[in-house]
Amino acid sequence: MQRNRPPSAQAISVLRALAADPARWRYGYELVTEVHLKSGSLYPILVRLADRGLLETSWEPGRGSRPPRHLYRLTLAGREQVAALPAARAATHPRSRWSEA
Amino acid sequence: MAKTFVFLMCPVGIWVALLRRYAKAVPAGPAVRDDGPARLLRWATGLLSAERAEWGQAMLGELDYIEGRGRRWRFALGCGGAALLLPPWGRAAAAVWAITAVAAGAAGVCGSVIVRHGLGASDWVYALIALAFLVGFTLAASVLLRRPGVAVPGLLGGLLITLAWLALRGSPSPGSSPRQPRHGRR
Repeated sequence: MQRNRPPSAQAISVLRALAADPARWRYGYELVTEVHLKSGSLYPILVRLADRGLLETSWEPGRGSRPPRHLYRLTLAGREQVAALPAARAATHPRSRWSEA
Repeated sequence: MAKTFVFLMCPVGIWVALLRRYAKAVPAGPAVRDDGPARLLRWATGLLSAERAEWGQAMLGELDYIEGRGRRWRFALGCGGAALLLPPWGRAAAAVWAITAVAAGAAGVCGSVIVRHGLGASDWVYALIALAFLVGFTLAASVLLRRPGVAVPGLLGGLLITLAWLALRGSPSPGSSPRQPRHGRR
């Protein structure tokens, strides 16, 4: 069951980092360093965004003996959500619920 | 002497179980680094439900590209914590939390008893040893519970060790006097 929660400040910073170059696939650790989040905070956010259809994932084949690497970027719905985010937060009550994707 | 033997055999048994488990848990895919952070994260992601297994592989794959011991440990600890909390919980993660709750309850009961009865310094040493073993058994149980073939012998072994320990504790050696309770100290 998905709950209709407003995004946390951390989730918003992840969304904005991904929206900065929405066509580019990003690595998890790249986002950790860019957003200054701990991995224990970032991955649950990525999971929730993917569950809501805001994030798409892919696998980059491993190089040589290295394992494959997970990649992330916003879906179209995710980009729309980020575009609507500042207006939605300014226009509504701070505790208003965030609409589901 | 017998009590010492039992105490010495417990950690040996735990480490044998851990090593057996890690030896069999190495994935058959591309080679990954097998240092402490990787082993910790492999254990934690193994507790994820099947629905979240891909995210566990994502964390493990990402860890392999991180350089620096400190950075790897921080990443593995963070992801490990997330894997333990990430819903929906698998049976293994739920069991880990249940075992942890039972162990914490047992530690609390022991703590309240020894504080209530006012123990001396030597008793505190025994209490700390008991606490260390409680943590060890919790970790061992969390590993064993995901391997049904090992969990039953492990459980029976743990019960036997507990019974042996209780039996030995209940029969003081000849010449030793029973400990007097220290009620009423002010």
